[in-house]
Amino acid sequence: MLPFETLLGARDAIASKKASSVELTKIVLDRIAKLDPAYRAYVSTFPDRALGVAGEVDAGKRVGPLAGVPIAIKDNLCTTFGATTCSSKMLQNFYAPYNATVVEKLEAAGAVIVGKTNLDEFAMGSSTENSALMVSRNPWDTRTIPGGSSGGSASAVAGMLAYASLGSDTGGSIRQPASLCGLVGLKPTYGRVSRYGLVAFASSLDQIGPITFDCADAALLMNVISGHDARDSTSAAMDVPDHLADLEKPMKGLRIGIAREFDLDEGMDAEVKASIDRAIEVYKSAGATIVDVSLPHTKYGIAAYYVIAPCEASSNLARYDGVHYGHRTAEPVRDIIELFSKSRYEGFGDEVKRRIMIGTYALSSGYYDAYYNRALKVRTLISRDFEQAFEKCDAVLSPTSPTAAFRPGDKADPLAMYLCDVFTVTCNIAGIAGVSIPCGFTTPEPGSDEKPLPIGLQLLGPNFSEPKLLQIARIHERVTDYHTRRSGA
Amino acid sequence: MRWHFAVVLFASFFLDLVANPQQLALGHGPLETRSFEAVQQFLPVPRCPSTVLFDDDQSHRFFDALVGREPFPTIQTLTTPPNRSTVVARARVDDFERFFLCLTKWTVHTRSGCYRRWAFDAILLRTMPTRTCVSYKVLVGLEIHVQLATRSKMFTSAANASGSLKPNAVPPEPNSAVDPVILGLPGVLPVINRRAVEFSIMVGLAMDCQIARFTKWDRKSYYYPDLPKNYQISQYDLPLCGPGTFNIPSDDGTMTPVRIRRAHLEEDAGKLLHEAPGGYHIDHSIVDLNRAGTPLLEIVTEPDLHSPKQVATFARELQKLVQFLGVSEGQMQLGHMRFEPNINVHITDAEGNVHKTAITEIKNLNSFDVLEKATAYEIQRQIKTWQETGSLGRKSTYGWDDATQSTFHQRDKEEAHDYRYFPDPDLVPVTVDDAWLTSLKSTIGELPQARRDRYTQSLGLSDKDAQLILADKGTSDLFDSAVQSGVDAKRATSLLEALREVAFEKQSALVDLNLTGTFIADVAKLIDAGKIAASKETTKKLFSAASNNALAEQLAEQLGLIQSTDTGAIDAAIDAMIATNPKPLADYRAGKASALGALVGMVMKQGKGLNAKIVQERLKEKLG
Repeated sequence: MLPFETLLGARDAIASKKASSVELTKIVLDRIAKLDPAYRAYVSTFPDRALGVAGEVDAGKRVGPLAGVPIAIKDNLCTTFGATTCSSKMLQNFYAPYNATVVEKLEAAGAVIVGKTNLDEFAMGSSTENSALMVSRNPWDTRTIPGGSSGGSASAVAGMLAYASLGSDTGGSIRQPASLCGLVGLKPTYGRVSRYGLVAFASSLDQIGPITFDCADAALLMNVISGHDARDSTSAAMDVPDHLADLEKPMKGLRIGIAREFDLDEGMDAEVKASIDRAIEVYKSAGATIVDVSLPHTKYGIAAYYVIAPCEASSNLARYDGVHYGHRTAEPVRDIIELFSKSRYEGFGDEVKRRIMIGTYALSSGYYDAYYNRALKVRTLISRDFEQAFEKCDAVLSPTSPTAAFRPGDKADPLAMYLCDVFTVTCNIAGIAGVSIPCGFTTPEPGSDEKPLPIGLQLLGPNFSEPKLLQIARIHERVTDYHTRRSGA
Repeated sequence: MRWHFAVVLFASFFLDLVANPQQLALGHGPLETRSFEAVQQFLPVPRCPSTVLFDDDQSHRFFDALVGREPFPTIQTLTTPPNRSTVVARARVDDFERFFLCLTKWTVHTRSGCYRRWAFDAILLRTMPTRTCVSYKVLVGLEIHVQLATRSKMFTSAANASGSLKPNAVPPEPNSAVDPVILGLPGVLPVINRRAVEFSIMVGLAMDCQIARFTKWDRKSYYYPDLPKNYQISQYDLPLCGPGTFNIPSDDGTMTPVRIRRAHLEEDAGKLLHEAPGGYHIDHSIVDLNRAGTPLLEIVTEPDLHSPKQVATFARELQKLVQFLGVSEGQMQLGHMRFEPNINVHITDAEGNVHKTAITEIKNLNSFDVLEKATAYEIQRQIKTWQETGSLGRKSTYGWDDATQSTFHQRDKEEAHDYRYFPDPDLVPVTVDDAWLTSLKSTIGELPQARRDRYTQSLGLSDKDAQLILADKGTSDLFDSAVQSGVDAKRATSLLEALREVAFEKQSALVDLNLTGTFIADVAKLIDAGKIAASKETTKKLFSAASNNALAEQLAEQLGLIQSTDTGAIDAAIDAMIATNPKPLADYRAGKASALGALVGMVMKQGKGLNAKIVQERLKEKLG
């Protein structure tokens, strides 16, 4: 087991000299060496560098709100140390000459970055099965996947191979793996966290956020990574509140919205439904009012998402052509077009190619209005749905994922995989904030070799409502113990 | 009028034409088919199947010629497939106007694969009907790319090496003005250069354009290594500047309005070289991204220009405008301004019918002269093509070949790309509010055309002198400053001309000499007071030695330019001259007043540094 239950606990212990950062880092590195062959969370680790940073913290040369705590980051965040692979063959040997803004902020806060974690290639997927490097495993049951695309980040924290991690969320890629791994995963409001240095998947949907053991840890990380960045025009020029300040404050007149459109008949696991019902009871007993809200355009969410995201991706990924950097075919080529197509054919996996093709098609002349433009209209409608819902409630509660963790190959049909995102995509489409917190476990049938797997609930809040959202999540956390359970030794 | 006809030997080709009747309608009258035997006697080549193989490009051009869209090219190279016998075609037969071989599609199988070739068999086209061009109207619209001279690039802080390159400066090392944004590395993001937006708005205001209050950025997708992102950030449906008007002077002194359709801001691409510097062959291509990401303002005019001269005038006036606004260096040979004329002609024939040729665009024109010449050539080419073939051509892009002084076909526009424009999600829209617009309006100042009017009308300068003063903003500003300090406009003009020569000799820009209007006024005062000679030689010496804080009179003294007003010395010099030059003296006395100038000159040579005015006075007196 890791010493100290949480990121915050470890941070305080180091700050008060009750623990040494070097020792904590060594413990984490040892755990990685021992357990990661089974979890496959990390694409790369930086033991020497991490111990160097930890040493500086212990020597008092580095201070900050995260000083000395070992943290993992998703391998689509650019770093000047190590490769930034995006779990793609295309970028397997790509070494960025710059740090992502969030990486700079983490290091400025004293965090010890121990390694970079696995993801679905270019963050396209919900299980890490689309990683060109390996499939990560869920530490609660290594026969199952940790979710995706930030599966490695969730696996690393759930496996206690880091105190927290950063992921990126384009359609649920932080919240879904957090849910499947029994963790807290926060997707901040679009513009809250700078995207500079995050390898773009779908620029208008991508956000970086924390995956942590509990709400306080998420709040702590949000304090560090949020804020305007001159290098990202889409980042919000707004002051960052202290996400920890009101976390424990009692809330009066809390209204939790339940959207009738989120009440699925099909594809929804009964145990997930039961857990959500229990969570609603938790809020009721805490004095919250449960209100019915309607998000009528939710049903178009997946469709709009799978137009907007591939369109942007097809353009964002155009730069990987084998000319200036990245994978280049070793085969002889006749001309530049053949160099492009062979390099891209070899460098990209099937899911990436599928989305590039969908996006290219949808943006083609004659189809733009039918697809992209219409998707943008849906986007406006979904945003309006939420605006209206948030007039009636403080947060909308739903499951994060319709099922608990599944096994590799269970969702071989891409459409079945896309439906994992049914509760999460609208949050990205509207640009609002969302958090997933643990709210239960599956109960294996007696005598089966199944293991209990985590279930998560999602709370969606208006733009820049992260502090309040965490405060609401904390109410549930305070009276339950799911967040204190750990996957193993 | 004789009808021309074609004999089609191969049914496949005939069917092609039948399937595309519009292609026939483009140029010729109906094509007739005849049996092979019927025309065989006319054919000086062996009977079919004779096979001449061309590559796709050649066949394409032949096909165009056949249906009258292009003039016939000359056959130069023939490609032979390995397994077919070849008969060389003759491109021209004396008995007939044109003789060609019929197109047949061949599929050639080789070990390395299967590819398509076209073969030609005999096609006969008889004499063309004569077409008379009674009159024609030229319509030219311009697409202009102006590189803005901002310090940094359009979407990043990398140095704007291309747009701010001065005429005599050494260009930077290839790929030195790049950063992760220019290289299109993963994860980096564009940030709008506010100055570039301001420069564009200034140009728009100066051309009386409607400035968009809300404008956005779009991605234009195409795969080419000159922009590593494989898309260009541009503006598609909401350009920064909307419709406007730019006036250009005509020969008769009036102004001709040219409508501006739009002007939008985008990023320039890098350069790709397919041979090594010096023209050496290489088996790869060289990419230089210094130019990539340069702020580029694309201005599009309506087809309101009606002669090559007007095109050149527009270009020169626009250059002047952007230079005076200080938004571009405006050097055509450095690629700061690239003009692409879109040309077509409305031809009126003898019957009064109007024939409109297809629009062609000419690219790669790197000087005003070439722009004018190429436009003129292209107009004549379109008319000649119509006269010879009846073809109106089709929408295509032409290049200019300096060696042959002619335009050449590059590609057809029908092959236009699908650029898959969509709004760039990495950038936020730009909104232009009143305050911003007002402050930009106030920075524009007096534009070159207004200055010219002031020089010729209020100050009474000749057009030529006004042109000279308006060579660049620095000269014009210095002129204005000198005039404000009290110098007569004509005196100021001649002093600035001397100054220009000094700058030229020093290989520097006039403004870089750092002279002030006050200094020029002081020089003018010295001349007026007779203290220095008014000659260009003298003033050039003075300007040449002038430095920042020098006082004109002190400097003239140091240089020994102060003239002697000592009448004794002057008289001595006059006497010495009279003694040695009886001939001009005799001329003068004989009544040739014009000889006086020569005499004064000779006196001046006798004694250095004499005041010419006094010399003249005393000489007149003496010769009296």
